[in-house]
Amino acid sequence: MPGRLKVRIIAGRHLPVMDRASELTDAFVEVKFGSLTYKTEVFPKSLNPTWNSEWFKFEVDDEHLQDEPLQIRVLDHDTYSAHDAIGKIYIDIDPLLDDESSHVLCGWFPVYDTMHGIRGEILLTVKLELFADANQFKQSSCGFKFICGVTVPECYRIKYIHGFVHEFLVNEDPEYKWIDKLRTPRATNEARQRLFSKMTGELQRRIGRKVENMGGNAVLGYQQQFDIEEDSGIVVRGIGTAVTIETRKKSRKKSTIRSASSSPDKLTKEFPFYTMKSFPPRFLSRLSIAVNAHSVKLLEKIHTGNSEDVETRDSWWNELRQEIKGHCHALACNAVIGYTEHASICDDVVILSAQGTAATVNPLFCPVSQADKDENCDDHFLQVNFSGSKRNSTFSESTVQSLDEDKENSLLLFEVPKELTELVCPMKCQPSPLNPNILVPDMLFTTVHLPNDVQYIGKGTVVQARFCRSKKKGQGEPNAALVSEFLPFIEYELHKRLYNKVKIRGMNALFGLESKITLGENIVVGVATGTAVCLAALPKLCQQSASESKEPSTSSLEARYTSFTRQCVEVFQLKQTTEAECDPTSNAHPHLSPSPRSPLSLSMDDKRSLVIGIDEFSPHDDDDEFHDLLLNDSLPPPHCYISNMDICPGLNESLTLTQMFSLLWRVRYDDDANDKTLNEGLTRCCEQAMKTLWFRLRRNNPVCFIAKARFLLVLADDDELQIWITGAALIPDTKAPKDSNKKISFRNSAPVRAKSGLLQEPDLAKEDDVESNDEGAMLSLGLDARKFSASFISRPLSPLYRKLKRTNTVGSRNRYDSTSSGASKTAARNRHFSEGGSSISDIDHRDLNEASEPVEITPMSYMCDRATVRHIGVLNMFIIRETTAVRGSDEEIPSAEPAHGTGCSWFVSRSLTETNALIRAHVVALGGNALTSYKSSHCVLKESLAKNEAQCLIHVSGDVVLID
Amino acid sequence: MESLPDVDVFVGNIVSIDFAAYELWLEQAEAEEARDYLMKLDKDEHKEKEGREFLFYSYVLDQFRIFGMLEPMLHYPTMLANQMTYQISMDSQKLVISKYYALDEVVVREFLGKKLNKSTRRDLDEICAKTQKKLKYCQRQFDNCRRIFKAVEDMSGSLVKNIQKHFQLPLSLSWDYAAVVFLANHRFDCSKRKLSCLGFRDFVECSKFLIESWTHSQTDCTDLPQEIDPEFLHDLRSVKILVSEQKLFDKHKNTTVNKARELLHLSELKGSDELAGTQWCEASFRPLSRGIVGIASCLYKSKEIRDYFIDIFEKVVEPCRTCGWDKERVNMFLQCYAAAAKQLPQIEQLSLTWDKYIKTTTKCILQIYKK
Repeated sequence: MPGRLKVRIIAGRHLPVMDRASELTDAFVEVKFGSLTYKTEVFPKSLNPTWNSEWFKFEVDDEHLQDEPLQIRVLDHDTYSAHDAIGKIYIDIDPLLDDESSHVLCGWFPVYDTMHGIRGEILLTVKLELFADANQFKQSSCGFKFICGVTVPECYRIKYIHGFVHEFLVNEDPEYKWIDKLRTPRATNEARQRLFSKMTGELQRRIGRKVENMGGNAVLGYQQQFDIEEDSGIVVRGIGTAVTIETRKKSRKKSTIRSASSSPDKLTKEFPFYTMKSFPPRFLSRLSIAVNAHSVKLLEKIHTGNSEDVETRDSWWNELRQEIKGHCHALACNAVIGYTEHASICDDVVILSAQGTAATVNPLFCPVSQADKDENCDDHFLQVNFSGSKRNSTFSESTVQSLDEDKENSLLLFEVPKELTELVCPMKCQPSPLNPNILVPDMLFTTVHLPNDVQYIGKGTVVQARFCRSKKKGQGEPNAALVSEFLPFIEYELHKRLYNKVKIRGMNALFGLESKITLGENIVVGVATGTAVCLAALPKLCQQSASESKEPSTSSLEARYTSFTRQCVEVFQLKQTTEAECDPTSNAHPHLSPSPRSPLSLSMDDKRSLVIGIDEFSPHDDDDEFHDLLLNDSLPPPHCYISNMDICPGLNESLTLTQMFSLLWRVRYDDDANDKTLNEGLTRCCEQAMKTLWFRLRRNNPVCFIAKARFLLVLADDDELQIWITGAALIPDTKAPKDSNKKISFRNSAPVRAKSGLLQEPDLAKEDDVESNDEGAMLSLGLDARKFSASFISRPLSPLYRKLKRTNTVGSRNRYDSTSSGASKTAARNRHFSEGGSSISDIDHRDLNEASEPVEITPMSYMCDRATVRHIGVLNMFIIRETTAVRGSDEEIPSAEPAHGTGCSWFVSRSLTETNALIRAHVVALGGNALTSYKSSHCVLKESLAKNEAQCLIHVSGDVVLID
Repeated sequence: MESLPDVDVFVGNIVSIDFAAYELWLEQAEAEEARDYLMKLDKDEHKEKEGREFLFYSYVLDQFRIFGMLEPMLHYPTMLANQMTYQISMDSQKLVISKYYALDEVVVREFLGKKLNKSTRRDLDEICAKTQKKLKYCQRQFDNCRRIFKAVEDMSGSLVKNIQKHFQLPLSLSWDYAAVVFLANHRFDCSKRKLSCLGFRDFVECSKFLIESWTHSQTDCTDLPQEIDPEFLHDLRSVKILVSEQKLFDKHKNTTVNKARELLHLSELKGSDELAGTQWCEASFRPLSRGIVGIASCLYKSKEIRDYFIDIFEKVVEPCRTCGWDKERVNMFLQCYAAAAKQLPQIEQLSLTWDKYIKTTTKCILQIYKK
């Protein structure tokens, strides 16, 4: 359906001074969509202009609506020379195409300049009118939901899971075109941002088409990656899982589901891959092990429009997927779940990796039949929901009906089929402690989240293995060959370390495993991270480990192991078996399926695949360093836990998000250090970075938890290593149980400062009275125990929008500062003190007084103590920030640079802060109040001290949602 | 591999401010000083001496970075409230602003009444040598004052309310700045050696009295809130007759003495003998009255306004002090003096003006009267 896009530019504020003489700015705005550009009038001599422009109309077909971003450019009018650019705003129209959306977007957007960062804000409104059109040859795919989350938001229910969708686009990278040598960095950056934005739109449109063909209406677990291949160009890849979802409450689309497609032929589909990490009940029947595949390729230059480039890359990824599929079949599984793809590029060599977990899924899974039954318990569900102990309860639709059966099923989840025990891999299987008739692996590694109904003991914790190898600098074929020779060793080492680290912690399973191999010019680094838990269904290792370690090791070493394991058992409460077994979440549904032990499948470019199993417990190894490595791991601070999944396993109290954080830590290393030094350094750095992180978080809240911790290693230069850590900091929720649905807005509450005790209740949050609100559209309910009160961000769309409508006629009366030159002096001086005449600042004041809530950003797929009411759309932003004055710019803050630093901390700090600000502005303008499943995936800091330049690239994505 | 990172940055979605670190930053402490100070404060963190220094150091740097980024916005506090770059809780915002604008009384005292211009700023190094504070710290204090001065200079309406609104400051702090602005605007001379015994508070209080009664600042609808009512100053010239006409002077004196006597009776504060009780009044009446009336009649010259404080100090406070009066007595005298004048028919038509003058001046004298 084609549509009409209407844009209105209302006002600006806090614009920078563009004319030094008058200390003012003559701003006007350009609105561009596709090839059509409109301009507002110039609003002279003001830093807080009010344009109140007409509606700029664009008639566009929906293909363009999906591909093109709306571009807003703010400029300073200059009579004699070229107008100076102030900054730009890119708006992705996609979320407005959704049927459920109001097709309106309204709010303040930060004006962003790649060289100066945020420079003021612009208030604008975008409206979209769509016309119905049934063109069967259309290329577009409007209205398909893209969800970054690896589990379905609780406001929806999965009706059918169709399968894997993937697509990618290639292009030349403007940064590496010859013309880049001629133009300014700003022009290049803008060309790049425009291109990336457009590619994002096009990619989604194409994936949408595929989903449509498969009969789905949404993509779940959508992952978009930018591969910047430098001279070779740029590749944007997207993978996801096509699903059919329906809103909970009113299942209006009922029964239109194609039952035909649920026939077993599903199994024959090309790639039975699923990118989600949590699944509906009864979908999984057996959970096997993590599988992965790598390949090393040489890059060649991409030429736009050359289909060969596309085909090559397509074949590369397909090979890899085939290989994964092969592993999966070898393990007697019919699907790969928790599937991810990753590329690491250095010069002309690229390492492609794919990772997932082999599993058996129920091909006839069709929760639709269940839907009716569940209808009753839905209401019940919604009430119990988020009472704290229940998390991924999205799937807890099943009733108590089949409790026993479910328990059995959850055990079967881990069963190793008979035929597999004598297969390829030397798997060590043992009877399950819960049922001696069932064989289970002694240790399990998976990439998915811990299924809801699985019983486990104690708490979980993040376990991380790291390994690096130096390599000679090189180019072309020989270099690629060298790298591919290294890969198996790195994989082996990572696995060995992980295995032993899990084991000496007295645990027996690893969930959410994410292993990444990063290629640098003279080094290859592998980091594998997962959350270890002690599953009740698998044999317990803690007791064994102690005895096992007896014979070979010296007594001191043995003592160290024993004491470490003891410490872990205590810290992670692995002893209290019986209590912990009755996991409160055991709402019991059959889920994932059992699996064999964790061998590791590695594979090479040339398809030789090998599977290695490591059974030996480390004491057999007489490598002292190795022992130190294992034993010197620091455990989280007292009462604090960390996980790389949405939940910290074992934390049953209800939690509140304090905030999302990012940490960048960069160290330099010696170009020609040997492997041993490098490895020690790597370990030390990661440990130190973690320590710093805990220290920061615990400054305010001594007891806190980290969820969804993500580690990103970047090798940006040949002697530096960047560690990016993101995650969500949580604290125990101190609020009283949420008994009623009272609408309370909390203001002026003091920040939580629980200085002691685990569950001490800091007196926070004085409940203000119910905010009576005749407009009824305010979202002030249930901000429980938010230590944050009022922030200034204008509240979601509707009220502001309405106010604007009410007041926009008043706008012209505040042109006081533009009229006479005599008055303009005064205006100049008071430029930041906008006088009462302005309709816009009236609105600001009102908003301020109403104490709007903060916009939350979380890497988790839901907000811990609040329910997701609506999923508005996906946000994908590639942000470029650059400076040509690392040292000695106006923005620099010399007092805050470390004595040993290079002076660019301020730059990183600003880039990250501004990225968050851009996200928040988009969220609010779209009518949301939070971003879930936040992920920053392409973070690089490049610095050239000689040139006094620095560049920071950040690709962020997430789901814009409305939470209650 | 290096053990120390050369970039170490922590950024959260919500800006959380450590006010202990913030205060150190405001005092222009170096990161190392701040680190040591915070480490001393934080005792509960047992053991692990090693590495702690680094943790605190990197924490301090992060906090300092936040403050450095926020600083430009603190110059326009209303902007801080509706900007979108930093998500800060309302409470923190308020605290950040009021701490940033907190006045250092010792430092600000030094440039009270001076023109808030570049040349005064250049002379700040003297102040910083005298007060033992860091130069940058003094400069910030000065810049805050100048910024507020410039911002409210041409604004109409109440001076205090303007400051409060545009700088989001608490009322008491707004009053302090109103005083600074007012004193600087009229260039009141506060730096004479004789006045050096007066503190910042004394001037704030006096300015408050002056602003409240001599300007139109309290009424919201005024274009020149800082201007001292010219009509009032003009009318005030006529009080000269109190000293210029001998008859009137004598009558005034007698009435004052009588009133003083009555009061002494009432309060039963009879000293050793009644005569001595009025003796003091009679003896000092001439110089004091000349002083008080002299100041009043010249105030219409802007030069004289500047010397208001030094004048009341030299012509009223000092003579009283040499007579060994205590504050009570000064007050009593001034009360009687004022009331007596009002009873004179020549002053009656001026009674509003007289009241306005003498009441405020009395308050000021009492404020700066110290033993």
